[in-house]
Amino acid sequence: MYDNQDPLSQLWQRQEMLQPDFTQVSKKWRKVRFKQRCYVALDFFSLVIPFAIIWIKADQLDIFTLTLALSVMSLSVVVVIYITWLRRFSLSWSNVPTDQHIQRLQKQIQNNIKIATLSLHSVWFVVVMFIVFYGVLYFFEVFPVDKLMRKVLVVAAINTVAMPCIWIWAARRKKRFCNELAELNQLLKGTKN
Amino acid sequence: MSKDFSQVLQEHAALLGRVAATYEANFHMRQELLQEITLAVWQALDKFKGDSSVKTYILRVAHNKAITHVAYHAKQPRNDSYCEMASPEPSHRPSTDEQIDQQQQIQLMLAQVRKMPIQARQVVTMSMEGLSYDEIADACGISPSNAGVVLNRARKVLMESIQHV
Repeated sequence: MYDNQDPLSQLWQRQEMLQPDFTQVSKKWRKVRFKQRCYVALDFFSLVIPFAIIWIKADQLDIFTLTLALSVMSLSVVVVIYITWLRRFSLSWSNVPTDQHIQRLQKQIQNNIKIATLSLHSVWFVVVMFIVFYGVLYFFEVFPVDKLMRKVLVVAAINTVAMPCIWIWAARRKKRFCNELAELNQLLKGTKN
Repeated sequence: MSKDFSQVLQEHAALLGRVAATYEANFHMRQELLQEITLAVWQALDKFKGDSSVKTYILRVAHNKAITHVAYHAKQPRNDSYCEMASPEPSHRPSTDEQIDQQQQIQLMLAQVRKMPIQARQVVTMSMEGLSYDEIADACGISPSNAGVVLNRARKVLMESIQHV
């Protein structure tokens, strides 16, 4: 520790400083709280609504479709719980010692990379699921061939547009998180700027 | 905003500004970081249990937030190059040679601080804020002897940098 006569401390204290805008901070806090509540609601409804639809439509679905839909939805619940667990350190502030904070931050960014990788691989997984699904429907002749073909074309058209978009989005996120981890590791070593 | 917290934040506003300056060279990014730090400290004050001084607690939270901010803004440049506003308008322009030298020394010192590894940056700036070895060690999660070693090295580098003016 150096006293008030220390030239470095004196110089440090003489910096021309910006002042925080407390009104903006209050506004930002309200916005952050609103966003957090929206995310919670979104997570909740993204799980509840598909289950409700399956429940309502259960009578109209054959046993294979029903089993597959319930399996996929059950898998989604596991994935959402896993993602929530990975995000457990995503706090807006931290009062732990900085070495612990850095370890948590590194872990958090690594988890974000895992989530992005999971999103990336979900693209081909969904495609494989559709192929298997419609393959089984064809094999067991659940629908007439022309009706099945119409369904396959619609789903294929949606997948052709949506899946590359999801792939690009996930790949960009993964790259961003990798950059963040590299930046943090660089900060720990110093010499950048 | 709670009145008590607001008062604590007002009292430590300059301190928060200096933490922001430790991590961001760019004026606009520094403003953004200062707002983020202020929000983080305001939220964290609610959990303050009094097991350290308020200043140490605030500095710990502020540094943690700043580290998160810098890592999450990995794509942003860490200098003034893209800043439309050339530099923040100082409230009073340096007039004498002595003041101009002092401003240059401050800029050199800040540039040097921003090049340091996070631990050295945190240790030396907390020391210049008047924290003891024990307080610094507690905030950084290192031993007091280690804090002393890091601090002496960092101070030597800073002293050399400002002597060039």
